[in-house]
Amino acid sequence: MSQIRIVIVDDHEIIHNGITNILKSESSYEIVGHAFNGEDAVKLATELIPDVIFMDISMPVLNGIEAIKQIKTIQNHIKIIALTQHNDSEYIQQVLIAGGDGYLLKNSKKEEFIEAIKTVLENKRFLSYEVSDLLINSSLQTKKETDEEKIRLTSREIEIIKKIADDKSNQEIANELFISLRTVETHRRNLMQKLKVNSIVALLKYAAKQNIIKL
Amino acid sequence: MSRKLKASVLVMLLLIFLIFIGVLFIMKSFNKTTDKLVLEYHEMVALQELKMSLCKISTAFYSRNDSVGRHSAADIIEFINEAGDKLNRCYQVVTPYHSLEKLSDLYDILKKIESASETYHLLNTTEIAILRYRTIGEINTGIGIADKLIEEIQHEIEIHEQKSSTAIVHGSFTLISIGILLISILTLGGFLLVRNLTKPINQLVTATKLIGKGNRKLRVKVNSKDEFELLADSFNTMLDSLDKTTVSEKYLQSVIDSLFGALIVTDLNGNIKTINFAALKLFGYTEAELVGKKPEILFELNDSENEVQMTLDEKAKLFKNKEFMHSKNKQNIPVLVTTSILKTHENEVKGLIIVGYDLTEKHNYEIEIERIRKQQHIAINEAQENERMRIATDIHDGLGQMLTGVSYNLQQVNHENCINGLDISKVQQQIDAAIQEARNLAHNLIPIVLKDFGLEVALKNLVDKATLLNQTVFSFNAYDLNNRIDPKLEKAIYRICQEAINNIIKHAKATEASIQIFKNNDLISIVIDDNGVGFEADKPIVPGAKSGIGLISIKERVTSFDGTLIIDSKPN
Repeated sequence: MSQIRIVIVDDHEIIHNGITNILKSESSYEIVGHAFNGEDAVKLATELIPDVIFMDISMPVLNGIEAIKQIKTIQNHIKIIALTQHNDSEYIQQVLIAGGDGYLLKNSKKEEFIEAIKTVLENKRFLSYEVSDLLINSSLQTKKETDEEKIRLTSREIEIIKKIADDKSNQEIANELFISLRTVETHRRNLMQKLKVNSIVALLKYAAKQNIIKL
Repeated sequence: MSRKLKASVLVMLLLIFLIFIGVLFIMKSFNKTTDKLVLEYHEMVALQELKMSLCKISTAFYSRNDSVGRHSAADIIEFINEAGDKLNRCYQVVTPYHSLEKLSDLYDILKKIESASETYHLLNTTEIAILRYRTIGEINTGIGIADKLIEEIQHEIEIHEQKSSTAIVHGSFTLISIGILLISILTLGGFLLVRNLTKPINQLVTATKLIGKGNRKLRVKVNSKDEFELLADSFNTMLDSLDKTTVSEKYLQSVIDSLFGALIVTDLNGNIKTINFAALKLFGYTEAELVGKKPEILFELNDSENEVQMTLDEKAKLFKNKEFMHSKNKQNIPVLVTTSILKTHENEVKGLIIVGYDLTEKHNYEIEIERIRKQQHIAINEAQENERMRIATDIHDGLGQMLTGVSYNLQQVNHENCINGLDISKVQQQIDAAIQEARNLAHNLIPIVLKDFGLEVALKNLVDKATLLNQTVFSFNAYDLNNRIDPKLEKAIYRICQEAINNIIKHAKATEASIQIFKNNDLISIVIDDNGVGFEADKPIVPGAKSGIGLISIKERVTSFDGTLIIDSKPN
């Protein structure tokens, strides 16, 4: 079996040492290059054409995501696994959008590292459990939100709509809700922006449709 | 004055007395003359009567011869006796001035006649004729003597008459002179007296006129040691006190004009009565333009607005609350106004006092200070953020990586070398936890997501995490937040929301909370709602109080970007 050639890209020395140590025991893995920023990573990738690259995201000069994009346009077949401390779904999505093949958190165990390499070499995407969790939650949240077709109105906003429907002036609304006049004006403006309407009439129509008020 | 008057009156009385004496004297001398005259007349009369008697005797003697109208011897004797009486009378009356021996001659004659007449009847015709002749001759002599005496008396009378007329002339002259003198003296005296009386009065009048013209230093000197001196002294004292009040009036005026503040005093009707230099300078009016007008024009209040007449107290309150006053050229001047009711010592209301202090400089300073403060605040926040960034980076780069390194090495240990009795997996877990903690720490300090992906994403993450870790369900919505905005502002908004979320978590005990960001042209609204317990929003924020710092920092951030913070909240 040919050696699987791996390049590590990270701006911290300690990561390089750590990964090297972890993969030392695996004879099939050979670490062929070290880069410390995105720009060097692209250069190294073009030079060495490794099989797998472990790419840190936050790096000076050129960040990891950019580097992934660039390497993917030149050498599409190189598998790039993002290796980062960031556990935000945004980053995960960005990496995947950029063309990354995997996302691994830095404090992953040796097993995960090996599995990541194996999985991406099989042309599959790899996400560590923790990362998958994050992504799933995030997409569920988004789904939940898109499922909710109606725009959520806060209780305060509903109160104000009801008062407007009762033909109260802003000052009257302010007095009755014990809030300031400016607050009322701001809420009205925001409501129209939120509901994407240009007039109070349309606002009230929407409210009526949602059974917030009775016409 | 009475002294002078008394003296003058005494002098006049003395004069009159003297004159009186003089007149008496003159009268006496008149009398003397007239007495003399009377005497002479008496003498004259006596002698004339004697003469008459002698003539009668003579006649009687003559007629003896004639039968017609003949006088008897008795008649002759009667006549002789009569003559004798008359002669006696003469002796009585005639003064020794005249030749008294003549009287004795007359006496002799008379005796002769007497004796002749006695012997008359004894004689014959021839003897009678001779006797008669002789007797008549004696009688004629006697008549001649009488005539001589009479002449003398007449002479004397003439002399006396002359004397008397001279005396009259002299007397009249004297009287007239005295009269004139008296009148002159009286006039002079009166004149002098009046002058003396009026001199101090004139002095006072002149002094008063001069003082009226403005010469306040004048004083009146009167040394007459009488009431006029007292009057003059009182006058001087009055001038002194007038001086004092003038000095104090001048003093007061200079105090008013030197006042830093603008001073306006109105009368009872609210019309400006007094206005000081500082006020005229501040508002750019002349005194004539403002005196008599209402101070409302300086407050930009039209009379028509206040048709209802306000009391001075109401006006005082109204003016006190004004923060701006109006100058002639329509500029608004920030002021501090104080008002007070002008009262006399007897508590009688006289008007309204308005004092205004020009706060423009202070105002400008305040604006400048605020501007600098905002700048400083932004700078501080910037510094803060940089510091946090530094720390976060250190944690991320330093600590986080180190821990990861340890984790890696530990994994090696786990597989290669066994350390007796040590549960490596537990240590591994702890390291993982430490790494996670470091991650969180760094993340709380500075959300790198904010920098990399923008406000909407960062807030979404923040809100989701908050929901995850707490009992409250947080929701986040952004409307029209399409473009990236100023990174400083992004950080500020992030921090504000962070702080608000922390407050809600700590104090509100809410079940639901929403954060909404609206972007409308240049206006960004952050609306944070929660259904929690609320708090006293109107209480002034006490610096140092634990609950206060968060709100203060939100407020500071909002104002540093010229924003407005509105908190609507009430307990329960």
